[in-house]
Amino acid sequence: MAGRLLGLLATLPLLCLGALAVALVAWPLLVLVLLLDLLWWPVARATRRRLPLLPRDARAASIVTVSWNGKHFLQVLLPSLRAEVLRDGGDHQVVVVDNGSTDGTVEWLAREHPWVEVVALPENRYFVRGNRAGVAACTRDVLVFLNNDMEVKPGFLTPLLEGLREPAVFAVAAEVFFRDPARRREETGRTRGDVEGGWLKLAHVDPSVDERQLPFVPTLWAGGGSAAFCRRMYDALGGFDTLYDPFYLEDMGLSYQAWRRGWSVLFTARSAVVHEHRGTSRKAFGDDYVDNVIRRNQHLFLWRNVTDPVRTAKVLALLPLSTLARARRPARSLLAGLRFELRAFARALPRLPQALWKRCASRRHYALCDGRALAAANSIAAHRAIQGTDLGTLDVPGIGGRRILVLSARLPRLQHDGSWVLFRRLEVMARRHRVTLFAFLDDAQQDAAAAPLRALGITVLTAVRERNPLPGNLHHGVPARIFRDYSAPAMRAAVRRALEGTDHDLVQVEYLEMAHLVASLPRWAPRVYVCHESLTVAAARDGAMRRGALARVRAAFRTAQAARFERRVVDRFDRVIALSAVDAAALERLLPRRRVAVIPSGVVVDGLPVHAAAAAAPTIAFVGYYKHTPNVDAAQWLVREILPLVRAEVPDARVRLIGRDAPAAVAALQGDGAVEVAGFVPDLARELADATVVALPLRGGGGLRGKLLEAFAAACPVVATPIACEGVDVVDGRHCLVAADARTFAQALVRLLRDRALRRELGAAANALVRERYSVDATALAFERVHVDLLQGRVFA
Amino acid sequence: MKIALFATTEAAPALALLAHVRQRHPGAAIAAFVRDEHRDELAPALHGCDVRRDKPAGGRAAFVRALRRERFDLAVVAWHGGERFQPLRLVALVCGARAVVAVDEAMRERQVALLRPWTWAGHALRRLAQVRAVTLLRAAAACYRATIGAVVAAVWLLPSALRWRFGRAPDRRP
Repeated sequence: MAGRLLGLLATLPLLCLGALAVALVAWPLLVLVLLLDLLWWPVARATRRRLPLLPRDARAASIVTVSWNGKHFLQVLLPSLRAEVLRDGGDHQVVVVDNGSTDGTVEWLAREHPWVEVVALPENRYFVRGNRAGVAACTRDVLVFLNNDMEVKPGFLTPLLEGLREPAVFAVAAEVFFRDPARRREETGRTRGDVEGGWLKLAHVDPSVDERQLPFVPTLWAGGGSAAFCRRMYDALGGFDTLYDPFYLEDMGLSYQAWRRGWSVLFTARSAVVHEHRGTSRKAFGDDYVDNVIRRNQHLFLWRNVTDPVRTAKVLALLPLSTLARARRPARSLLAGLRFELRAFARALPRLPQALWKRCASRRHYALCDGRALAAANSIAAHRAIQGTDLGTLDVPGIGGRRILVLSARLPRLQHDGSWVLFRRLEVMARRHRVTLFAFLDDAQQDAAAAPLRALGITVLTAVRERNPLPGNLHHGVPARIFRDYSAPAMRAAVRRALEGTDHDLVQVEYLEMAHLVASLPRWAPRVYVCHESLTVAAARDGAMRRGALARVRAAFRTAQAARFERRVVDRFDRVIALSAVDAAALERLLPRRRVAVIPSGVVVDGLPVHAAAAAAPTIAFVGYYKHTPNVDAAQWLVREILPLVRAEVPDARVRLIGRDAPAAVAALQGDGAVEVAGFVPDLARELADATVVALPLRGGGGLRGKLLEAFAAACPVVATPIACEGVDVVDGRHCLVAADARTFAQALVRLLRDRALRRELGAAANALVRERYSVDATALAFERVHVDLLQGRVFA
Repeated sequence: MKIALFATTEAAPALALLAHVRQRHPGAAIAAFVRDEHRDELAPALHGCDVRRDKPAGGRAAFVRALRRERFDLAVVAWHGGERFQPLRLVALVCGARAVVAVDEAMRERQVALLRPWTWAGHALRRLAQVRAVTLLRAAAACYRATIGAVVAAVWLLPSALRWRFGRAPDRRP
């Protein structure tokens, strides 16, 4: 251990020295670049130029393949390509560029594939210059670039050409598979990326459900080995940039330039190739050299392309830090990593003047800034909003159906917790709209619980919730529980991917935890927030129950924290819906300029077991999901303070505590037979129907209590606190008995336990109330109205 | 003799520690703190012990106060490391026992006392060196959050507190 510490201490000065060396170049460079941008900006404005969008002949393509000693690869590629060219029937041209091979490729091609045009170069000009030589021999309006270690699948060509019929489309990329299906798909063809924290983050992602179903979706870059490009636009951009010579990132650079000019780069899952990934370059040049060239080209890409001032400043100002961060890589010492990074940086510097010149020269053509270009490239919804083009539509059921993305902090399930409210709403929504649900799971096994939702035709995307591993929240900006359980970077990335990979007209966010994750992400479609429980109301009520000065101070702190947090999160949404009027008033108090709609939850009434007013033994049932702490308090209050008063009058009265995840504090209530902790019950409606009375002694929390509606739906007589009745228009003595303190609550229970006629009367009135006003269909209709208002711009505008 | 045994380690080392303590102090009354999930597994070995939960009921301060009231003659605590943070390893130092003995994985005993840092500093440094950097950062962040961060937050949360306390929802009645 001491050795490790000493080693680290010895490395530290060298690391600092490395960072300093980078800083000495990067920071003056930052000043130079910003100055150059500032001076060049009026020139670029004055000489602004746009390439007119003209129709192109997308029936025939020139297909270019560069090969160096890759005869064995071509033996696989060319037969599949020949079959595809014949199948498509277009007047296609196939060009193979031989990069000075010594394996007899040229002779073999002349002998075996005379239909192929060969461009024989005297020496290896690598990927960029090799492809440029191939393009010079091309005669069609469309260029298709294929790596020599590919095999095209049947139907590869037609969708690519179809996509290029649209004049604003620059390129269309095919989906990439690997020959070994067990191998991780580090290349898929659907690409995304961003400039975050001063560095380029690029990734191939698995196409989402919608990305597979839609004919075309945006993609950040079209791979230079499996995509079709518009020749005219390609020439206007100057082709594969020799800045990145010999290989890697030239395709990314080309596509990014196209995005900046306002053209689209698309991906289609209908076209596919099989790749023998990095079959040539890695074997020929070694991993270290190739990785170093990639890193060098990443520097060059950022210097040449990223022009937003803030992003530029971040890239160069943070370069010393990001260099150190990247130096720490698995299976490599810190010093070796630093050496690698410095080498790449030093190799990029000689090309800096060329990068800066091209940076300036391209600016007059730009139509989109970096942020909008990246957003349009990453997200389907953003692409539609920015480019204004529809890439095809997904089928939606019914007339006027919409594509709705619902993001929920937990998977809605029936009979487990209050999330059944959302389940019922989704059930109705899915009848008319195309609903995609993204939800977090407690563990991977929980995904099976999504089967009932999938059976309704809902596309369910899930990710496992994880604890935030990072330090932070230094000034209590986020409530501790939400920071711990709903702030992990991986969770945010999963939400982002759901937003970007889904085709939607509207986003509906359920629960504050999810709203917190969504709020900071870019917004490209209207967003609705559904407040199930106001955190501020819950915190304030929790504080009111605290005793002792310190506890009250802490509670006041938490309430203020909740108020600030909730206000900041909720304010990022276009429309806010609360389930109860109390929560709506609280949110309006926090955001006086916002109008919060109140739509109560709906419940299914028909087909439930009906309450038997004459129960065998006087049983008081309480239902609660015990991870919700107000339910724990309610159970404790019922057993410790109310039940003794009840049993003084009705000695054989017993309490049955129903619900999953009962903590030790609730389990400990099970005592002398008067209390039974039943836990999760598979048929809750039957349990409620069999109980004599349902008690809802809630003193904290907010929102609308689904358990009240469930009890009413089963025609159960209910005794509840005023807090438990919030959101439901009950009349004390008509629909249920309302009591605020332990004594009156116990008296109400005794009254009901003794009076069978009253039980029947209350149950019938309550049942009639939910039938009339709290049916699932009625509440779904109210949501529908909000959606229509929002999409018609009455609120969104 | 009253002994508080803090054995919130894995089940096997807890078992070994219990046997070790029983051998060293036959006939002592032992109050054993073990992890909830190990209670069933350790039940036969814990026979005769007063088995306590490792989760403080009613707040941490109350938990420590209750321990101090019990006036233990000896506190034995397992300092076995592990990724999981075990606050009871620190509680032993403040539980008010006349003597506190820490036992490591090799059953080496050392007498420790909160106010004599040289008795525990070496062990603490050894453990710290094994901890991942992010864990240390999280601990540092937690310390900051509980002290300076709380003071700063109290100031900048004041407007929110006032808005909530005195703010009114606009009247929406038609």
